[in-house]
Amino acid sequence: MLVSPWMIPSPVEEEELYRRFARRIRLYGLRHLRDADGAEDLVQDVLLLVLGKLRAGEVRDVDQLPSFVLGTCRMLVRNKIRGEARRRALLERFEAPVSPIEPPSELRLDMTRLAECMAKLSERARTITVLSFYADRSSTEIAEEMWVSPNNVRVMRHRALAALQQCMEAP
Amino acid sequence: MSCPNVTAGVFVDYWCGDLDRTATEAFEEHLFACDACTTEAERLVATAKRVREGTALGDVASLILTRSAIDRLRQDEVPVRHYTVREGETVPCQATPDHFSVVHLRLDGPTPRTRVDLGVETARGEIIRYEDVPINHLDGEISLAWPGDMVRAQPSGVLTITLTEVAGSEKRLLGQYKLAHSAAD
Repeated sequence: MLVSPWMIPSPVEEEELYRRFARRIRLYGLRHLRDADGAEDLVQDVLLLVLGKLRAGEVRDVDQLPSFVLGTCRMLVRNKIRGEARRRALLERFEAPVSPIEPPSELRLDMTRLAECMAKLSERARTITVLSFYADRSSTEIAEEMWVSPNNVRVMRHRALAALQQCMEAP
Repeated sequence: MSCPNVTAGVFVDYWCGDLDRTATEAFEEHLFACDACTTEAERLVATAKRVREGTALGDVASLILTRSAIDRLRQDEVPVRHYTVREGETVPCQATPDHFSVVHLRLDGPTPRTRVDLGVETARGEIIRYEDVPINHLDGEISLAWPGDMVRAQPSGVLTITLTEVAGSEKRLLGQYKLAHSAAD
């Protein structure tokens, strides 16, 4: 059990809490915010809030901890998105300069391998891959542009991803 | 390690926003309690990150782009050189430091509903074939994007692009488009 009910978590238990949930919160943040820095901020904010609640003895059912952490993620992301919408409205109103391009991550992965693996996909699979993971388009949006059904897009996207992952992870 | 409770397609549907709200929330509840699914989701995110960064840097293979992908490149201020070519035309182009050169091939007449193949004959006489290329239906064109390295590797000379409509064993020439390429000094 991660944390005993009604008890203040020990430093070891806090570390275990971080180890267990940080990656999940990061995934949630990346999915909903589409921003690596925003996701890292979310990890810190959620864990601080959750630890505060645990230390205060406010989380009583430890089995509900995953749901509690997820609920905290949802609340903070909702607030963040609302705040971002307000910030954008202000930027538009006062014609603030466009944000600079996000610099490429220092985690420069094997791009040569990526190009080789992408080249092995069919033209349609490659286009769908770029639309899905670069342009952030849903299957419905891609289907409209390419005159195919959304189901067709989903099947091709799933197969392309599997082929890409297999190729990129090959020794 | 894989989770018996989640099918593989769910991860990418979740990431791409193709699950409805109820399914999204149910998947997230599961994700927060399942190590195997967390690992699989991280694997997907790593691949998505590679594709995103590779595309923005022009470190991908040649691509057929649609309008929304082109819009996204513009929004991200990715250096892209555009050339629009009509059937029978020869348009000058040159090697540049841009991440991509995108050739927009304008289709005359109604947009084909069957398969369209594209072939590029380079100035060296090499033939590069692209089968069943996606058509940008919104603009009535096919947008072929070559990464900068691929463009810069071309010698000066004419590149001939041929579009062919394929229906079963029948093939019909849709048009030829030419680029007069100037190599970098």
